[in-house]
Amino acid sequence: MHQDRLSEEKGRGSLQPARAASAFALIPRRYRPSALTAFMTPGIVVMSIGFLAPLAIAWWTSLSGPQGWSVDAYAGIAGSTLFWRVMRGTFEIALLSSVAALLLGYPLALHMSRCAPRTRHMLMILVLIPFWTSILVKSYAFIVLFGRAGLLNQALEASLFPFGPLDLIFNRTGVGIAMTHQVIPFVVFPLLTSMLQIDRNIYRAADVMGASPFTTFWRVTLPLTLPGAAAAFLISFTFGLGAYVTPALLGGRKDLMIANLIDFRLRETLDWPAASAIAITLTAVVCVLIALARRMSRSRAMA
Amino acid sequence: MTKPSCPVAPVTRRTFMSAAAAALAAPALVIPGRARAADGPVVFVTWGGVVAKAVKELLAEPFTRETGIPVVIADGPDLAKVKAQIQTGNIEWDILDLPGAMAMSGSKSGFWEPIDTDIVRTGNLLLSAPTPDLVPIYTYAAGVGWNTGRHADGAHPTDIVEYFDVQRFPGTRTLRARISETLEMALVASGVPVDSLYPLDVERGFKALDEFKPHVRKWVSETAQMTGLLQSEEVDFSYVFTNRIRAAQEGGVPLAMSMKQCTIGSLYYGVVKGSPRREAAMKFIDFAMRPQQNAALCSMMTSIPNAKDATALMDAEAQKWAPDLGNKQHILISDAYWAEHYEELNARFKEWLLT
Repeated sequence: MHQDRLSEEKGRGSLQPARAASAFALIPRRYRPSALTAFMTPGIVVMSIGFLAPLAIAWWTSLSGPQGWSVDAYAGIAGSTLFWRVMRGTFEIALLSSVAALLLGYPLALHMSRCAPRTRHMLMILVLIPFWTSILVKSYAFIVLFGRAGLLNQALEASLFPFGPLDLIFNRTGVGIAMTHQVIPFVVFPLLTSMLQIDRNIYRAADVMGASPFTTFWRVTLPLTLPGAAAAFLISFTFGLGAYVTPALLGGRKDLMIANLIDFRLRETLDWPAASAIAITLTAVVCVLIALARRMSRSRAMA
Repeated sequence: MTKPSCPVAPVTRRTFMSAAAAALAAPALVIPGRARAADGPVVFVTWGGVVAKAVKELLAEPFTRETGIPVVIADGPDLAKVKAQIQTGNIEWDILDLPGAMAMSGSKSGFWEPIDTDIVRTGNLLLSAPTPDLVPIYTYAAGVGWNTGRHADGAHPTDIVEYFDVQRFPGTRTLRARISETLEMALVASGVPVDSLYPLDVERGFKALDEFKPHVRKWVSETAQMTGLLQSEEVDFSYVFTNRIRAAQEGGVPLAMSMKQCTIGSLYYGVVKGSPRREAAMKFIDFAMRPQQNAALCSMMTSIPNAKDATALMDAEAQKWAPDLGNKQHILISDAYWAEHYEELNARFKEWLLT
């Protein structure tokens, strides 16, 4: 923690233009706006207009009843079994897909980090292509691949697989497959970045000290990429929480997402306080989770 | 964070400039909506693709030629946006293309102008409007569909009762992921006569759905999936709309449907409350409901005209796809009923799906 702050200060100091010496020096060092702050300003402005302001409006809407302020909307969702069931399902689906994407994406990123730059760029494009493809098109592709009459089941039948045809879509499995596919790019890129940042000399050192490839992975690569993995997990998990179309197309009747519930309140029943209350609750839960995850990773870093 | 100070002066200036630019641009974003006068174009909001093309070519362009009133076609009717426009007084939309549930929900919220019967000749309608602020334009049918490559004649259900009869016709089905239409079908399948459906016997309907639940492979929320799943043979039988089956057949896909018993839904036009072009909008609706125009629109949309004398004017191919509304077996969906019960029953239905 302390070390963090020190290096931050040093970083700020080095970015200060020298000409700013005189009056500027009167401001205590910690409170001086740095060049970094300056570069962040446009981003902060965009986020304030595009994210914080709508969030504030949603919060305000969630608290407005027919006669002034009211917490009825929150009381309503707290007492709704539908809300809690959907909330639980949404978290399960987001967790399932982000863990699966992490397990699949990690070896992929590791391989990409060891490729020659040209091959790596090709692989990066391959990872990105599905990301650019319309979800409707992808959902049809999944039906052709994993449906009861799909290619996989036909192949299983041809190879005399005794338990076919497998039900792989229109249930939790289908959502899992499609959502994992959806979030893999969000996992691969943060992981790849953290892997490419590792100093190659560390591997040479491990090699010289007689570490087996497995030991090198276990004691060098994995610990050094854990922050990247944590970031990848958080990004894909939050993305999964907001998913909507994919579960509707490939899920079963139990795979209703919280975004779907918000849409129902927002556009079909026009109950905006309820829709806002659900959105605010979801946002609050996500913020708490991110804060917890950061605290955990920080305490681990200190230990 | 944005505290100005000497080393960041250029950025402060930039921040100021962008703030100034935003301040200058803001009125430009707001004013056109406010300033759009009564003689501006009528904005007609519809569903894109084929529908937008049909409305543009068959209604908007001839209307403009006749009256000189320009019409702009916009995409994506959305009650949330209508609500926002009315709340801010910044009315950008004039006429909306509205399926039953949406039309009635908006009517209940007071989103539509009363129809001016001095301009719109409502006496020419086959089905009259459930409320005085909507005009039913056409109806559309959905029924039992199958893949002819997979099920020979006689080996598939042809009406709603048979669709729910999994003993006689084993196989997987689809239903819509919403309670309207679904509850009516379940009640008819459980033996309620079509003419005494309303008010719906909700408990009986849910009980019938309980039994049918395991046979529904997919509760469809994207209409395209209803025919898509038949085509890819993921389900044996599906609840399908006539226009989708017609498009599939014309594309050479071996799908078919039965016209013996269909659900009939209505489509409405409504004029947004406070629209500065209310009168022009009413004229447009009256124009759209002339038999000639109504027939042309329905021919292209594969729907059933709601203007008197329009059915005979449809092209022969489209007439084949319009079920006979005189047939008492068809289930005419009551939008007035759903206006009162949709919210409560659809919430219950969603919960029921999760258990």
